[in-house]
Amino acid sequence: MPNFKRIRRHCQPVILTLLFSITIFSAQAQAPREYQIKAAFLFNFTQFVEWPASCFSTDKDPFIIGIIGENPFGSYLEEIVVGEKVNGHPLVIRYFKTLEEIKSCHILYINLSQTSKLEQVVAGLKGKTILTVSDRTDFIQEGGTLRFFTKNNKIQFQINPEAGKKANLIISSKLLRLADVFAPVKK
Amino acid sequence: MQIKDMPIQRKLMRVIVLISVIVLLVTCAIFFVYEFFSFKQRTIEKLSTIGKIISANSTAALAFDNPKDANEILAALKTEPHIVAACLYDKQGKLFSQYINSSSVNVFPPKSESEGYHFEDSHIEGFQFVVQGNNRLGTLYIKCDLGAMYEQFRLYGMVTALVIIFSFLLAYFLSRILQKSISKPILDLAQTAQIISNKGDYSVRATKVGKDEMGSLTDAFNQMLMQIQKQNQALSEFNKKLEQKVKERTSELELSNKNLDSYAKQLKESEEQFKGLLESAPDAMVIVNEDGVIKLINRQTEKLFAYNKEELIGQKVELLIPQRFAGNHPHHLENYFTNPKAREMGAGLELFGKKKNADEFPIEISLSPLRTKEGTIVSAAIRDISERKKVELELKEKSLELTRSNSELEQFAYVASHDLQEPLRMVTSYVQLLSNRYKDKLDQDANDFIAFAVDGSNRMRILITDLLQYSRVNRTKPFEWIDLNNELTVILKNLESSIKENNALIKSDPLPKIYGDNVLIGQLFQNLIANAIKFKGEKNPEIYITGKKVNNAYQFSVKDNGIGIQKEYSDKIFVIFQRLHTKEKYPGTGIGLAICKKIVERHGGKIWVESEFGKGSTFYFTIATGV
Repeated sequence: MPNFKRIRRHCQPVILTLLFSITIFSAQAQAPREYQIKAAFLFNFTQFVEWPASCFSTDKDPFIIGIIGENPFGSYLEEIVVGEKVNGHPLVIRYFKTLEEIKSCHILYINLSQTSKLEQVVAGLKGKTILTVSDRTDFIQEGGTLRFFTKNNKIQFQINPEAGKKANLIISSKLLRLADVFAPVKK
Repeated sequence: MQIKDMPIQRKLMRVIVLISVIVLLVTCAIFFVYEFFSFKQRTIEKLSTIGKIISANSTAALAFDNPKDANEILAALKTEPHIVAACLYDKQGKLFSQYINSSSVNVFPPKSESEGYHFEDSHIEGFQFVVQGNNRLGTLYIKCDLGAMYEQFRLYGMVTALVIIFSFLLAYFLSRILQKSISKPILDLAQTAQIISNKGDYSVRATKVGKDEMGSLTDAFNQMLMQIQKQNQALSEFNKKLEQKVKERTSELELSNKNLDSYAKQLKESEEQFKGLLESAPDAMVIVNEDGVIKLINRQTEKLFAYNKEELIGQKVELLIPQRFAGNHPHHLENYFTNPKAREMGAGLELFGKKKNADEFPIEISLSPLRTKEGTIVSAAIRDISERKKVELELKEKSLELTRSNSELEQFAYVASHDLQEPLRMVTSYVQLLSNRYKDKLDQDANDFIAFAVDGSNRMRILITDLLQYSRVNRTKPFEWIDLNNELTVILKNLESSIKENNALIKSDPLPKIYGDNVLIGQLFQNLIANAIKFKGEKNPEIYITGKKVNNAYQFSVKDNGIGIQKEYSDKIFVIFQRLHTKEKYPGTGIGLAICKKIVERHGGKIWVESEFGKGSTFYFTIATGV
């Protein structure tokens, strides 16, 4: 019954898509769409930024995405990274309350209130190979590496290559192409 | 014009050009097919490479949901004008970004779950996954028309066409030049052959160009020509000879034809003549075949043998032969036929014929073989010789009688002359005595009478001596070998006084040795020489003696320059007592030459004289060789 087979083959993706949309739907209930995209972006950054091998003691060491401050993604980010690996390192999500808790981390999403002392955090992370990400508008000015912003109803990001370089990270030019690259006026 | 009738030049050129064009076409076709597939492969590879670049570049755009950037990236495909459309699908298969370069494209196919490119009717299209790290971020779709390929192929086509045209021309011109090396000798040969066949002149030779097969063909051709020429020559010679022969034969035939009629006529005539001849022959003619059967006879035969013709024809020839010879006759006949030849009358044995009444009679037979169609026959001419035999017998008896009486006469003469000598001597001596003692004592008459008596008795004495000599010739004395040169010396000595007296000159060739009676031979020469001196002319006598072998005898001659003898007397002089002159002019008895003749005959020879009267004579005689 070749016809039937073909029908089944055609139907499969449809079914999968349906299932998938259900999960998305359930996740959507937990996090607004903006953060779903940002969560996906966070994961995607792992693909376009290179971390030096020295930041992993073994191959089995996890690749850690840390969130300091309130978790805006709900369970969505967790769902995205389940089973994913970065260069063989299993991806894990860690939640930090304070700066001191951070011992090993590769991407750190900083979600501190506007009033919090951002410069302290940045200074505290200085010299560590961490891609710092935040939504705060002054984040780049304060020495952060990557900042999300919304423009024309689209989520975009700004990158400070200097900061990345300082953090010993190699940011893909492809990523930079998409980003609004911060170029500080030299004094 | 069919290909087989084409000139070889064109054939060669056509083959060369055709081969080069076909080879070129095949090469081009293979090249095309190869190029077609390899071009497809290359196009796919190229498209795949482009796709890989695009998809690699567009990972970030997809990952961070930036269709604008993706569009920009896709827009880079403009540099490849044959890519007519491209698009990116996101993870969910939604159209994320698109690029359209042709008005013909307005619909994109749904995203495929398999990677790869494939050919459609007029284009190549394919999907490629956009992957960053291990994550599939979306799918790229590229569509490319085949314009490039067609363009490429058009270019190839043009190049191929140009190459083929150029090659064709090149092959044409090259073949024009190169075919000559093959076709020229062939054409030359063909032309030579044409000339030969047109003119029939086989002395023309083809010129050899190289040592290849054409060269050997030319050689073979030339050799063939040479042979043809030779044979032609031989043939024409033969023809000429043949013509000549035919001409000769024809004329011969004509002649013989002409003759044939007359021959037939002649034959008939000669047959008649033969029969006439046969009948008219004085002898009996008997014609016998090889088996001894009588085939034909004439009337004389009938007469001679007293048979009828019918009784003899078909009978054996032995019928005509006495019984005592008939037994051996078939054997003789057989011998004769093994070597038949004409045999003259009288040759061979005494033969006898037998008449019907069994009477025998002596015959002579001459035989002559005749070759006829029926085989050899022999014609025998038979002559009755009874009469002759009888005469012969009588003659023999007469001659015997004659001989007897002759010898008796000689005996008588000898005895008479011998016995006469004694009384004659007495008469002579007493007459001489009478003359000596009583001459001139009687009267004149008595003187005359006494003188006559003396003379008469002297002559008588000489006569009797000569007669004695003559009759002695036939007295037998055994013959012996005689050296005539010695004999001649003795004779000249005997004649010495006479020679001196007459101033005679006697010359002689060396003479042979002969077999005979030396006394008689001596007398012969002496008589002849003495005669030559005696009958001398006015000149001193010159005598010349020769002797040589002529045929089976020695012939001698005694030549003088004397008075000669008239022709009518040249036989008479040898007869006894014959004298031509008076005894007063030339004394003699007339016996000398008779003795010579007798001596010569005694030695189996003959004597004769050749003379011119008044100028001299030559006496010839022969002596049998004696053995």
